[in-house]
Amino acid sequence: MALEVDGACVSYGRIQAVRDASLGVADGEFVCVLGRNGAGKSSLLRAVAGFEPVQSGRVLWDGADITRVPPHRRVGMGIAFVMDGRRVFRTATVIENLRLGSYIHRRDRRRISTSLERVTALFPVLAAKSAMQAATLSGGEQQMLLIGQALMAAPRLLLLDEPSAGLAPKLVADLFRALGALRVDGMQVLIVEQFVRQALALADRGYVLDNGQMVLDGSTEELLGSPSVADIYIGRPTAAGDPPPGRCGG
Amino acid sequence: MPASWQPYVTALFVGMGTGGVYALVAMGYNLVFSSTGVFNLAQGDLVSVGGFLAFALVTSSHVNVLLAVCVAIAAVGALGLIQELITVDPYLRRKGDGFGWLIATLGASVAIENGLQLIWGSEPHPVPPLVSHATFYILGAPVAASYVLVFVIAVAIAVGIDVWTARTMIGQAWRATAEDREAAQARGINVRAVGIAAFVLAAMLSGLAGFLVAPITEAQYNAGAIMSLQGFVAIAIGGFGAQRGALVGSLLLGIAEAEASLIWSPGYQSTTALVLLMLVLVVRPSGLFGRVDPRVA
Amino acid sequence: MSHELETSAHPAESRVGADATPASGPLRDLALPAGVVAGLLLGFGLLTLTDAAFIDKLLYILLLSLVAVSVNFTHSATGELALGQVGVFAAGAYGYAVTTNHYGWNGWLGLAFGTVFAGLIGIIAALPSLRIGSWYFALTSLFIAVVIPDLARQIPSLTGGSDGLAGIPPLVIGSHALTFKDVYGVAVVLVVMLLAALRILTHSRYGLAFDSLRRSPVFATSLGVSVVRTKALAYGFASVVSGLAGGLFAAVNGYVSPDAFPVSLSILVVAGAVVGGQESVVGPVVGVAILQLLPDYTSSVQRYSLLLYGGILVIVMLLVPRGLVPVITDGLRRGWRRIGPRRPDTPSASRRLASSSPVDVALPRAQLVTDLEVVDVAKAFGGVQALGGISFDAPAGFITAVIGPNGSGKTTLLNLITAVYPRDAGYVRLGGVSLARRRHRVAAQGVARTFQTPMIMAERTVVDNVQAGAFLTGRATFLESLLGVGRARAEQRRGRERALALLAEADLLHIAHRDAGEVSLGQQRKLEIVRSLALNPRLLLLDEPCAGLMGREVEELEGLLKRVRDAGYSIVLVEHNMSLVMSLADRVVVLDQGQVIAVGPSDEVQASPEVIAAYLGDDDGA
Repeated sequence: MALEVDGACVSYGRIQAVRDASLGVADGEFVCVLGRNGAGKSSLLRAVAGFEPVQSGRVLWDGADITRVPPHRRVGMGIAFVMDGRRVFRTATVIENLRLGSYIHRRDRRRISTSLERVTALFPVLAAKSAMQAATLSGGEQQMLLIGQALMAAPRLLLLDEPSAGLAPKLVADLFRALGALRVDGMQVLIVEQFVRQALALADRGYVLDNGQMVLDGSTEELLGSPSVADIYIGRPTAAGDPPPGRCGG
Repeated sequence: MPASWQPYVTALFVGMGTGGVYALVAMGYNLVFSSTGVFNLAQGDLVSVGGFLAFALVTSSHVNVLLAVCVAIAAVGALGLIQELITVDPYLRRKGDGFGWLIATLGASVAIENGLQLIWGSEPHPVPPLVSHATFYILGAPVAASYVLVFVIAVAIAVGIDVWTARTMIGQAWRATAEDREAAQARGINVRAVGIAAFVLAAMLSGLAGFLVAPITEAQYNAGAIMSLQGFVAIAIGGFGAQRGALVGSLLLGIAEAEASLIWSPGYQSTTALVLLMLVLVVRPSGLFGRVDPRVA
Repeated sequence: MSHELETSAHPAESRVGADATPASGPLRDLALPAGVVAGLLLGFGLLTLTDAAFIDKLLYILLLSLVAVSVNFTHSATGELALGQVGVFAAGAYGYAVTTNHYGWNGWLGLAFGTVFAGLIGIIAALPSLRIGSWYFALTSLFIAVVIPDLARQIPSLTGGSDGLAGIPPLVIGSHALTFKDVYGVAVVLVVMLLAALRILTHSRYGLAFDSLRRSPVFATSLGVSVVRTKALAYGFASVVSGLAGGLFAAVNGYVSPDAFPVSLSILVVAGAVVGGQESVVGPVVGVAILQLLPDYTSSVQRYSLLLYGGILVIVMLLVPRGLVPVITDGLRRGWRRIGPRRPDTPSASRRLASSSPVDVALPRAQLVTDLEVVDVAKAFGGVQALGGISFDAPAGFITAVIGPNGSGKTTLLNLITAVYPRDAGYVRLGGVSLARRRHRVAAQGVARTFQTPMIMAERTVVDNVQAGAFLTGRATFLESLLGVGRARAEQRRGRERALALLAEADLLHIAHRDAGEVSLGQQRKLEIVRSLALNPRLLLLDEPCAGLMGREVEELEGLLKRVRDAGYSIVLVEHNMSLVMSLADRVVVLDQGQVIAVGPSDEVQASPEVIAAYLGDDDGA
């Protein structure tokens, strides 16, 4: 496994957002983390990216423990994070935003142009609007810009936090099409999503988080076939029953 | 030009000169504020240190002016680094309410002032003009060379910072940090290093400002506190987080103070500044060019 | 037999002695008068035991302490740092000086004028705080403290300009002019009484209002506390105190000049408050005393004093950010707990309740039962339509749940009803009356709310937090609350009993005296609901009351809500958790992307295919 999360616990003051969660992403895998709102998916992803401190448990990358590594250094290790909230650099142009994405490679011109070609092939609209201010882009275009930004760092693992949030259905379709292209390229992706069916359509495997705990995991076929997923989302008691409570030390 | 206008014109250019000094301080504030969210209350005292170094190196020891200004800039920059590590960095790492740095930088301000007083005493130390004793005649009104020098340098630096942030990758990284710290981190930018570098650069600008303004205001140990507050007012007028605003706000403040000095009396400088501040608060709290809403703070 | 009946469902926990500090108990009741006596003894003792020069120093320390206490008070009342109180002090001094010297007024009248004048200046100087955030205001305030002496320099005809005013007449009683020793005595009494009054105030409804404002203005307004009025009160009172200190300063010095109020004085005052400890009422006095006396005794070179202030500020903020007094009193308290006698956990009032038959302690019936109507309410944020013209009813005496996936507009709806931001369109009526546009008035109309993350005052006890909910039911004035007399005392006692009774009903009596920040999330959520009941509401709005809770805690909360509904209250709750909604709600309103997509009884709604699709995401987009 390239990425491993082992028994992670994340809390905000009194609120235990993630309890004893474990997952893994192998080379070339596309993995999704599902669950309803407030289940702790974002917190878990942010912990993998280094933006939330982990009270107990570990995050391992290529076998090395990166739990305490600050987020900006993880980029250099090959992990790129697309946060939620559509956080582009609004006053900078599209091309400036993309160049900032390759900040860690800023001295390597060849690498930057290769990445730029790749990104503009995936999202042609970014090339068309390259001189425009990021603030003038539509929601869907901004989301593409963010993913493009992350790809500019030539990462091995892409972390995506609800990229479809707040987008109109047609744009969601476009987005997932682009993500599909990434999958074909063989990029490792860990995506947190609310839209179950579309995410599962792309993924190899999935995990389901509920109230901070991993309650279900398996291959896409297994999850698509399981009635428990719908139950968990809607909050019905599941056939699978309640999992044992997670331990969080400290 | 009618002779009766002359004093007002002189005051205008004097105001632009002092505005230039404020601008150097305000740009320093802006650099620090936009990359860390912190407001260094000792900024004005760093200016004073620059002024005393001008006195010590040029007036007392007769060191070459260019060499002296480089030493002053480096020394104050180093002092800024030390200050950042003691009074700002520890509070940025703690998540929590935002007053630790306010009190700590206030403490640094007091300590620096007293340090200056211990070394050089309480009396003001005059510093002769650094570059030339000449008087320029602009639009027929006499203006001392020192004022012109300060103004020109301030504008040059403002332009320089603008160009640097727009053209270099590191400059862009700074702008990104100022806009969205977390997003910058996610792109691989070391925001802590950016904050420290901003602080040191701001200190260097203050050292330079002190050096340039010493011939105008004399080196005085307790001028720093007022300078800090006036720099604060300048950036409040111009807008927090706005580079252009720092320059414009400072010039406006300098000119307003100079004209008020002339029309009423020099004692009304601080009152003028307060009135301008109140006006800005009522009409446009984020300042003329500001993007950061201080209401959110 | 009756002693065995405990209202608590956890009898073992109710015996926990060491953690809980009872609000009343023989030791606590004596603490305040003992403190007052000790303070007076110390003050007057020093008067007889030390020489005149030292008394003079102490007098200055006491007067500055008054200013430091007022800075501290405004900070704890509003969360803001009014760094410019020295300017108000100066205004009080000049007020006295000008009226007595220039216009020949009687000293006491001059003092009164100076105090009132300073109070007004203080309130005006605080106006910016309504517009700007905390550190911006702090610096603006500091700047004002610089401007006031500068202004004095500019009007020499009135104020003596830079030279100041000399020969200011002292205060006179009969034919005896008050000497500095007399004024010292006055100052001792003033300081001790002020500290006692502030202590008394913390337990009154104003103290709770201030704490709630400091916690968050949105929280305070949800309790019916008006931000503007509360700030005006806090700054007005603080400025009156500073102004009085200034007037006394002028009276005893006989001379006032702008140089008496340099920036370093402002820094000293703030440093005193910080070093002494902002949480403690006594802290600023200790801090100012240390900073004024220390330079005299550490080295013979007094000129290092400013360096010392600066250094102390930096070091204290780094190492002891809470200040010295709180750290010391905490240490003492811990030591006392280890060696002192075990105290009973529940105070006498609740023991009386506990010993009576517990099942009789029922929730008070809701007073006015009314319907909530939401009609065509819409709100857009910067081009994004968060809510697009939604309408529904929440009939009286039922639990109505509003559910929907992320981004459907649920919290926006609650915020619109409680006027956290203005509606773009539509209206909301409770019992036929439109809801107000200002947050604190909505609370006064009987709307109580809880928050997604519990908004509680962590350093206050659980019962204090509940009493905060009853702010609007109090009638005692600020002054009465300061003095702790008559109406204020009676209301405080009744409020406490009522709060404890409500806590008993929610099975929280055993933690009534714990700090609210220490109890579990489930207990905090119940606390918020109990607090809402203390408001005597007509409608309870609950924002995800079960978020983050597991298993049994959810059941307990459910049970509490059912009992609240059965007592006749209307409840509207926002939730994700469908199983909770199914068992609890009578009616369900489903939102998706800012529109209502289903309304009806919960089992119908849950089975509806549109609802399921909204939650899981559509297939068709791909």
